[in-house]
Amino acid sequence: MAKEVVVTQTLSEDMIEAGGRLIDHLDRGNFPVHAALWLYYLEAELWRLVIASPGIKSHGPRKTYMRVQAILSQIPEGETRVGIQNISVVDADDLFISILRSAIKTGQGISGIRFSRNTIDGIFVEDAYIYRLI
Amino acid sequence: MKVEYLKEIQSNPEFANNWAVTKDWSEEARYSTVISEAEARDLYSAVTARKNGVLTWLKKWW
Repeated sequence: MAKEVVVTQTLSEDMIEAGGRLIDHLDRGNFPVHAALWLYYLEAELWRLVIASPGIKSHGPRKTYMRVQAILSQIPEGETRVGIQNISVVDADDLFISILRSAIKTGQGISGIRFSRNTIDGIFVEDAYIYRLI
Repeated sequence: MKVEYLKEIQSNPEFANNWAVTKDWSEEARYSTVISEAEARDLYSAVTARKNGVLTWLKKWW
């Protein structure tokens, strides 16, 4: 089993690398990723890898988490992976993602945009590292 | 308890899945008017499932 990356208070290079690796595996597994970012939750004081994908509202998150877990299990030993407990799946039309998308857009690939201490449409974003927002 | 929790997450995919669903809930979500029926059902079942549900696991520590 691949080793899980330690999710620290400060976004680390290991976290960024493991997040990018997961998105790459999701892409290769034909899992639709419309948005992916590490997001810092100020109140909870923790980072989560947020993945936005269509159909979660209609099917519920359970199936999506199962699919993500299956893809995580394919990450080879020797490579670090993000633990499922540090991932949040949301619908592609999630309100926060839509607001973020109104300010930032990326291409289909895997980008690396740091977005810190900014307010969009009245929503304060303490810190985020954006891989994809389409 | 954190050690036991991590052990369970890593060894029990069904529990890990239930935990993943449950952790996205927040106190603010109680007032959400945009949660779909499928999302509500998944949350309910992740918390209350007799086998591998989050509540069942938490009760071990009461």
